[in-house]
Amino acid sequence: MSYDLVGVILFAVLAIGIVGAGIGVVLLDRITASALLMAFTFLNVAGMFVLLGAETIAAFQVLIYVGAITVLILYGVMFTPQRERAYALFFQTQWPWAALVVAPLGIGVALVGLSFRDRATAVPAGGDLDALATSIFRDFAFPFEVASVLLLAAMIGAIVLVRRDD
Amino acid sequence: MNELLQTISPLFPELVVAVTASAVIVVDASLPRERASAALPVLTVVGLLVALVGGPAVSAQGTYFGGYVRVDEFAVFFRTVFLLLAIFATMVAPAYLDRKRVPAAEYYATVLFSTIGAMTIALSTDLITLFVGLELMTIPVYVLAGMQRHDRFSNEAALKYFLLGAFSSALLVYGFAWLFGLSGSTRYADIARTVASTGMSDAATIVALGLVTAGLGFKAAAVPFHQWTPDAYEGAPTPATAFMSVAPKAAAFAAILRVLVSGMGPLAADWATVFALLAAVTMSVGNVVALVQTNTKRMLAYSSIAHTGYVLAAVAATGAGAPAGAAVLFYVFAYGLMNLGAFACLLYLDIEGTRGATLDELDGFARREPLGALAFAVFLVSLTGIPPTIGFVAKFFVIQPVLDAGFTWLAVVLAFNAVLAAFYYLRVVVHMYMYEPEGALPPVVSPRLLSFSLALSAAAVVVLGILPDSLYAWALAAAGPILP
Amino acid sequence: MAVPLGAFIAVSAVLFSIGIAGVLVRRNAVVILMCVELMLNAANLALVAFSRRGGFPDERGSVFVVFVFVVAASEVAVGLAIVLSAYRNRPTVDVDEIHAMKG
Repeated sequence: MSYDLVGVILFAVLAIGIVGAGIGVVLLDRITASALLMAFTFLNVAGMFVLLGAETIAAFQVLIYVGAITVLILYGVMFTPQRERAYALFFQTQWPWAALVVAPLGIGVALVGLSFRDRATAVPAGGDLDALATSIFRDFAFPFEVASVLLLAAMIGAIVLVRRDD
Repeated sequence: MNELLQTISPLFPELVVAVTASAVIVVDASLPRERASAALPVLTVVGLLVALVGGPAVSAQGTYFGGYVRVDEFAVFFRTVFLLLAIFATMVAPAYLDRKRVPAAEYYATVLFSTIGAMTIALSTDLITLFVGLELMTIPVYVLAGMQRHDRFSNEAALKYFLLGAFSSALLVYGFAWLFGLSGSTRYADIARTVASTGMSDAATIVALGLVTAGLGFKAAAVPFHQWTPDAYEGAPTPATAFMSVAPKAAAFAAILRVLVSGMGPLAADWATVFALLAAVTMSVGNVVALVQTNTKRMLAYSSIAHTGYVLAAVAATGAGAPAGAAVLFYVFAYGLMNLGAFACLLYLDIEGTRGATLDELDGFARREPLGALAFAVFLVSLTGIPPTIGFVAKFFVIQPVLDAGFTWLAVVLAFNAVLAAFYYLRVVVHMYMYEPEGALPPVVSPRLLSFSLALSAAAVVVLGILPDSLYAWALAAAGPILP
Repeated sequence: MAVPLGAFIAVSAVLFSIGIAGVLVRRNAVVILMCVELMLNAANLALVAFSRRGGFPDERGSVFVVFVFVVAASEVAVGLAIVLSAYRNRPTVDVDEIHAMKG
């Protein structure tokens, strides 16, 4: 009973963190603040993973999202002058009704999401590392190799776009 | 050693292309610039040809990696399409890349990487492989769009394409997550089974299918998910535009057939109405807006949206069985050939930046560059759908299943659109052949490799328009695994 | 079970919608990129929740998440390179004028 209560409270705190920080990312004017709140959202999502018993994924989440991706984005913030509307996209002149459409759709989808029921009787014990490793290196060996090509392609692409002229 | 060879032999074309891509980078780094710029296109084309010819010989059909990779007729067909498009996109590019100082080695390598991703989509039997393949197909194309990096139109094209592409990928993954939640599996076969048993009444199924349709709609540039297309196509370096207007679209349709048609089983018939509506809106909007364009590159961008609509009409008709699937495959093949060719014809004019020729700048083009104008005219006539070209045959194959599936209204919309499209396509031909070249026109350049590849593909457009039977029979066989 | 699966999915749906709203509303390219990352995180949360609580035999959802990580990393790398190269070429004309030719 007491354990259940702890779980519920943890979930509530993490959920509030995710939603609050997420809204902050969208609404705050200062880009550095948005970036840091984004990192905070990632951390809370990692907390959710732990709550779900997926410790390995939680560790990856912290390493890759909170670590690598946040740092990359902060570099991006640092190197680009902060001008809004530098490159206007087609839809962004209509934001009031964009927000009006997204809010009810989001609430609707969330309500549909609530209808999913647990089918596992208990969280599988012993973490998720074994199942993860065997799946990736046995069944998903091909996409794993393709992913390595993807990283190479991204690396070459990033270099060719930003290197100085020789 | 023998065992290893046996494991990887089904992936022969993908491996060859990957090795070629690495070789291109290494050769570029180790040769002096002049020799590299001559050697790289040859190396790229040879690698692609080895993959094209050796593929069917080495990679036997069957399922591999515990059933997670499937080489069937469908995969073989799409592999051929992607490899041919990559060869074509390589052969038309060298002179332009030289002229505009676009880094050539990276251009070829990026095209090759994108091709591997596209082929991965065709081989996939589950959502994870599909997703990784789709990303390997698109991410290099963002880079291609921005490769003329001192041109701000190219920058803007890359930025728009990237932001909308990343957005659509996120929609797609979220849809995939829900499909996984519903079926407990990422494999198409299992998903089809689950989705068929829950049916259309289940709200979660509809949310998932809606997200996946929107995500793939962005990739295929269907209305209302098309807004990135004109700016991205217009601003990208022209050879890159030629490639990105065909290969990602073909890959998107491979994904649509794998996920939304074969992955949905019996439910596909209900979802067909959504596709029919998308198809009608897409072809109409594309054609109407193309009608008022004066820049040929932008006009071709809108016309490519219209062609997405025609293919979607065939997708909507999959209730009619294998002929509809064959129509999709045949149209994708025909569209790839003629649209890549049409964009490539713009490469004859040396214009500043990434801009395409305006209609006035094409005045008297037939007199200035007879062969190029003839090829351009053939591609435009084919895009219009006038016999004896492959474009006519492709439209003809689409209409029949659309009628069989009971979408008579869609067939009418399609026919009306084909007439509408004739106005703007043939206007270009009129400007090329009927007008005198007057005033200051951009200089004409005629690289031999460009003329050679355009002559080859224009001939193919006509020959396959007269003798489409063997290609159609192959498309029919390739549609078998998708629509039994 | 303390917290039901549906609650996790609902949180992921809300985060996903916030991401969409951000992409639609914001004009700065880097912030749009952040919002796309939020959407991908929402998908990851849903995948892990389904994987752990759905009662399915394999950990396919978690495997999917690992691949989403890889894709997100390469997407961000290429995306920032594109943003950087765009900003490095200071536009001499206001970009809104470029859109004058939009038809």
